[in-house]
Amino acid sequence: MEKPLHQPANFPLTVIRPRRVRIRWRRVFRSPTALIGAAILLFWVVMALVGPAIVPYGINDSEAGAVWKPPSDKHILGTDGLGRDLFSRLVIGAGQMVTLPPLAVGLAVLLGTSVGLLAGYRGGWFDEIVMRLMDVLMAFPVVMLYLIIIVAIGASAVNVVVAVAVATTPAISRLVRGLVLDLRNREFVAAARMRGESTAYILFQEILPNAAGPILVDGLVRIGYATFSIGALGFLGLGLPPPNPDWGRMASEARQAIILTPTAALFPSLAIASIVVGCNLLADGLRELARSEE
Amino acid sequence: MKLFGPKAIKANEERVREAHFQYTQNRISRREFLRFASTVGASAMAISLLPPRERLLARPARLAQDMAPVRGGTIYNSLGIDTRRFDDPARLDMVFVSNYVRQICDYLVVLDPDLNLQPSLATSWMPSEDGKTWTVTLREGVKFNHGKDFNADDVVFTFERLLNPDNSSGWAGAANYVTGVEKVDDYTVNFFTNRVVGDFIYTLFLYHAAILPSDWPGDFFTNPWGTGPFTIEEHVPDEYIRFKRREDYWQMGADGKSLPYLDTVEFVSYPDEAARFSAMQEGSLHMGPASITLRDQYLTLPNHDFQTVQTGNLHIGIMKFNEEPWTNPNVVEALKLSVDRKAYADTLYLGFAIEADDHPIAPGMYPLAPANQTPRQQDYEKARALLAEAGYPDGLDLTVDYIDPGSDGGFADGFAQFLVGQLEPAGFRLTLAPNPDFWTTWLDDWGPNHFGVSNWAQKNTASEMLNLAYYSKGVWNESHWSNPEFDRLLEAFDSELDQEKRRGQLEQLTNLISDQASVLIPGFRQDAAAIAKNVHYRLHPQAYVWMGDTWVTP
Repeated sequence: MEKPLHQPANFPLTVIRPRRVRIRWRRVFRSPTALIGAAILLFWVVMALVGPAIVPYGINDSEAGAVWKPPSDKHILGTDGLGRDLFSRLVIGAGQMVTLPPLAVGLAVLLGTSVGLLAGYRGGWFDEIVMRLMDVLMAFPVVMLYLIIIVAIGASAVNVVVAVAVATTPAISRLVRGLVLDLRNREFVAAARMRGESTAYILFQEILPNAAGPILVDGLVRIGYATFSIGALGFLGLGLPPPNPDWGRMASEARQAIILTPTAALFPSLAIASIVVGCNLLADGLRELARSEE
Repeated sequence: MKLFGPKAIKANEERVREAHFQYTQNRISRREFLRFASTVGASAMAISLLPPRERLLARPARLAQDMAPVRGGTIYNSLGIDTRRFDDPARLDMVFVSNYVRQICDYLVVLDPDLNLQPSLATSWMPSEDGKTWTVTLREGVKFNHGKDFNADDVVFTFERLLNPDNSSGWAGAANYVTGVEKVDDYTVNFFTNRVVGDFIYTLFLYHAAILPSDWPGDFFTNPWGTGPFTIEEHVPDEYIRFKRREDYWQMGADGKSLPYLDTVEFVSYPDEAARFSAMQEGSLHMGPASITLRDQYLTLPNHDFQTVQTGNLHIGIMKFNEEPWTNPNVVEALKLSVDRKAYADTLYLGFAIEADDHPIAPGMYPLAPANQTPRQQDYEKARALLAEAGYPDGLDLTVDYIDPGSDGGFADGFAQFLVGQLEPAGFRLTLAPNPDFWTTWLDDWGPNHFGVSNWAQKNTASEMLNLAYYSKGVWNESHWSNPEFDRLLEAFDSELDQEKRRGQLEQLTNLISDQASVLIPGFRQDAAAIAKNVHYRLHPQAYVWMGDTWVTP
């Protein structure tokens, strides 16, 4: 049980706050699930950081005639259709895959949380209008929504982030609104209202901290989805323009040589899958930890 | 001495004999000899001068190749692009799309897979004495697929449409010297030119020049009228076109009966190569284009052969001659010096390509084409020095415009990505900008610091290619290159009949392009296709697909 932050002298009641769900990061090491997830993600982050220093070839260097070659001593993951080293392109491509999805989800969390907080707290016509708008966005098949946005604004790193953020925002706003609907009727919120606190204070100091745990876990899962989405956009030719080493595009281009050099499609696909799995494992582990601490 | 006209027939016979002598001395090739004879309307005489065995080779390959064809059957073919809707052959801008027209319409003349000129709806042709009027005699007894008889009115109708500026036909650009066409009688027409062009007759096989009937109401999609071997049974845009045989086609097969041999041909949309390969694997696709880089994969198909043919088809890097930074010849030369032509041939075509020195006339693919010279050697140091001299010591940022891979199967995209790595060490930093609307802005000014990449199919003659894209008034002069000396020389080349002189002129023309034009041409590729082993078909070097004489063994 915790005491309210400040209690007016003429207000005798002690308000019971819900226990904040905090994740103790050091305990991540006690969850094998979270540990494996974190290790996979850490591997790619390290690759993205040190990649440019360790790759044997530039991403645009092609070895004349060495087209669609399987893994060998010279090219440990083989080559693509222009004789470019797949390992070098995969490692350099990691940079965008560990930055763009978190950026996209970060933006979506910012937007979705703001919308969900306001809609859930204010309710009434504002809630109705905003959430119906979110429903409209959610009614679109996600890939169709990406196509519409990217075709309208063009393919670039920023636009890919915007597209994924726009498509992810409704689900996050819905989650946050649900949490707020529960929290806004609690005594500690009523107390804050009676104290005359501003709406902003109540939203960001009283409600948001108590909703942060589920939002964080949900966000992590969504980073996995976003990675998959960015891979899918690249696969459809709507990701970063060539010759960027976009993993989705690499898998798509290698599809035509699937019999000749299956590894050329396999490695970028595995790389995308590993990040998705890493995010999900870490999120599952954190959820377990949160539950065990409640 | 008169060069043209009935009175000059004797002189032309002498020239054909002289050309034959040059052929026997190995100074010109058999193909060059036959093509020269055909330009002066003396093919029959030329063939008679050949020894008997070579006479057989000089006949249309389609007759010589398959001696016992089988009739009937259906072939599923993919052209590698969507079976898109189009409404006017005059406005075609893509050889692949023209291959639909080819099954329904005929041309006045055709080039066979050996690149020999053959009569088709025209049976003979003769230039006038001043060389500026060509009299073409037409075939009698030919019917369009809607029942009308073919005659001179249809030829006049077709070519007046092509010459009408409102129709913006590429034909008017390639044959920019043609001023008009006139009916002489029901089976004779005259073509008028404003200058003497010995290769005129070849422009009648440009893919826009499909002969349409004079009562054609427009919209080829709903009114696919022609004299060709097939009619359209069904065309579902972007899915398939199904052709069925005509019973009354005028051309005879090797068995003495009317072509075509096949009952049905279906062109199926398979723009995606992986899907095309899967269809071949499961046996639902007889033939389709194939990437040479995937040769080893196609060789795993048990029921298909991998066929290749050398072509004059090329990738081109476009530098707008009138825009920065290409107004400075040092920048153009620096870019040309940055590309390793052998790496181009080896990487994009596994060596199945001829290295080129930045001009479009492929050796061996056009009559009188200069033998392959040693192309520019990649020299980054010199390229960087030229860039610095031009005021770009820190290099240059360029935006590369080209058609997006979804629209052309990735032809331009592969070349553009290859160039990124090639040009980077010299200081050219490329940002690729694939664009589905590339062909609508292709001929415009692009603004400073733009570079383009496109793809050209081989043309019927060197004259046609040069008049279209390098003559300062050429309608497809994409680089906007303009050189008065080149224009004068091209006009002289067109009007010259002496083969040795023409050879020298063509070499000068190609040297001028190589040295001065703002285009990068690193090689001439081979085309490839996977073709079912039981299908009797030969690839055409100009990417033309004609199923009229194709047959399939059950």
